[in-house]
Amino acid sequence: MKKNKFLALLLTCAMVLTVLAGCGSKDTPAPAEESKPAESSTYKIALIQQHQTNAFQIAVTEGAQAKAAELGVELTILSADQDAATQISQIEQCVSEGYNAILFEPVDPDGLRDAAKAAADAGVVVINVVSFCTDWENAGIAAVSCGNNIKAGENEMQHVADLLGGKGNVAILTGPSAVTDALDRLTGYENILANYPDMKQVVAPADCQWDTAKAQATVESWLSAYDLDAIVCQNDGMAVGAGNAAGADSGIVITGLDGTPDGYEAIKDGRITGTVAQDGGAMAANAVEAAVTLLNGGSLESNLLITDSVWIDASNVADYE
Amino acid sequence: MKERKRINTLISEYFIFVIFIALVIVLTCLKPSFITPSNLVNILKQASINGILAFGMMFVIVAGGFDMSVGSTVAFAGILAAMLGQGNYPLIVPLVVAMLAGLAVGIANGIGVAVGNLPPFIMTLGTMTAVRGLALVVSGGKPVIGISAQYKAVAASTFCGIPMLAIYLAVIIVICSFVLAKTVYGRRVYACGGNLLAARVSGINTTMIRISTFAIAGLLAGLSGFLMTSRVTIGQPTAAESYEMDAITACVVGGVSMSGGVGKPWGVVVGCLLITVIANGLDIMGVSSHWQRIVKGAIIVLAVLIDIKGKSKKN
Repeated sequence: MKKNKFLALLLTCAMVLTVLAGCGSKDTPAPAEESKPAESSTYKIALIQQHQTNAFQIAVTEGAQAKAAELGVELTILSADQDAATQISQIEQCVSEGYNAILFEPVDPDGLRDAAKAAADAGVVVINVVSFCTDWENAGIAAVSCGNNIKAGENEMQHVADLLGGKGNVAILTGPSAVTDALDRLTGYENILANYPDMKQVVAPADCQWDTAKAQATVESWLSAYDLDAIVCQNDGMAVGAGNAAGADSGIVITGLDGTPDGYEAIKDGRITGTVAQDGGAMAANAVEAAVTLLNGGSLESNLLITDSVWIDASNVADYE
Repeated sequence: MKERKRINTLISEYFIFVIFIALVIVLTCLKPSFITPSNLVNILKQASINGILAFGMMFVIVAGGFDMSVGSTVAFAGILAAMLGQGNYPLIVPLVVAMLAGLAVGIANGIGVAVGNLPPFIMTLGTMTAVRGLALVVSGGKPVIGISAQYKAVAASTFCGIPMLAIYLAVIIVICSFVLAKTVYGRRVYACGGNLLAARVSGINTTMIRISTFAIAGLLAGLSGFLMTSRVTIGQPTAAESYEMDAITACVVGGVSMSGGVGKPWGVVVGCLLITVIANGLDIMGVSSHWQRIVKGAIIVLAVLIDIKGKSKKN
């Protein structure tokens, strides 16, 4: 009996805390500010990231924060932890808390459309960052700021083709097979491979879930059975794993994509050849700037803001750290 | 008749070993490069971290528990080890800190289960989530780079052609097997899992035994985290995702009963080698990773099915 009472008390406390936490996130704007909402310096912008668990996403966070500080807007950053349902409730929450603009990277390109539309209908400026919803213009999304994963994939594979002289055995490590980013990068690879009939894929692309240890085990196994000239990886973490398996200066061309610190370190000590950097910080900064422009009543030259990818190897890695 | 029965029980008991040998033969026929020394070294390297985790898991499962948190603990301990392993301190510092971090998580699990009477699944699900969060907080969500060459060598070096990782695993196997099979403590662990009430009535301090099994699992997860960082050369907060499942698979496939009290150390060794060989063999044959999951899933279910059938026959 006593135990039950204690449990009930505990649950009540938990509920009260949850409610308080919900209120906590909007405690900054004083009531005085709310009475004059349309002034440029008091715009409230929310950035809802897909997750915050790798270097790329942290670059997105930092890029957005720097731009928001520069433009003097109030920025709140939330993480959906890869869960579409969480992201939908976060968008709804931001709308009811009176945010002027919501920037988000959709966890699911289809699943987030309705939530985006509802937010836009409520008068909020909605912008996609990094990736975007299916048919986004009809979902009320005002602009998209992203890299282009197909082009980044083409950029990476083109450099591999140049390094190999258009000829050799190629293996590919991919991210989770159901993710748009991974599929687009693969499309980019295939676009380039189509031009080089002498570059052969000797094994099926392996899904290593963006994970260094999985990539390392797979490549160790491959190297005892196949003669590989290049290992093309869809992120730097897997490229580092491949580089560890092959060893430094192995003579195998190993490339990554994203441009994260672990990749740069491996480029410097010769375990991997190069990487294609996607500038997450610039994507986020462009999105914040676009939001402020639109909130000020301005218009954008184009509502599709593409951030170009850059090839980084031993010759220029020092500039990017 | 009696003879036949004896052979039957023998086969059912060592069936997993038979499956393992058959698999090795099939893979060698399909792809001769499977059996080359360099690939056998690969298999040893790839089996070792999971093997160490599986032995920790074995203590917990034999005592009637279950630990979902070891994957997160590996990541958390690995991050700490990466931060301390930059060359500023002797290597013993990251090793000890990683193992202490793992031990702390393990003891928390054990207290929750044995004292708080929480179901092991719930308690370790909680720590699994929270410790993953800790790993992300401590690392700021980014991989920790820059570990010293000396630290990288811990996993990368070899001794007479045998990777050091495999030697660490062998040491753990010997210690764990000895403790489980030859000591009073080991027999008490089996007793707790076999019948908790009977164990308590016969005067065993079941609370301490159960806490200690979680502590061992945590300690070994901490060690795995230290080795993992050395192997992949970076500390990643997202590393070792679902490693707890691989460890549980190795145990279950090796004949450790999920209801506790049953299981032999050699079974876990074979179970662990079996899942490594499946992954390695399918990689070598260039089978797509989607099919690998299907095969792995089927083998888990089949192995347990055979295990259950074997036991019901004996009774």
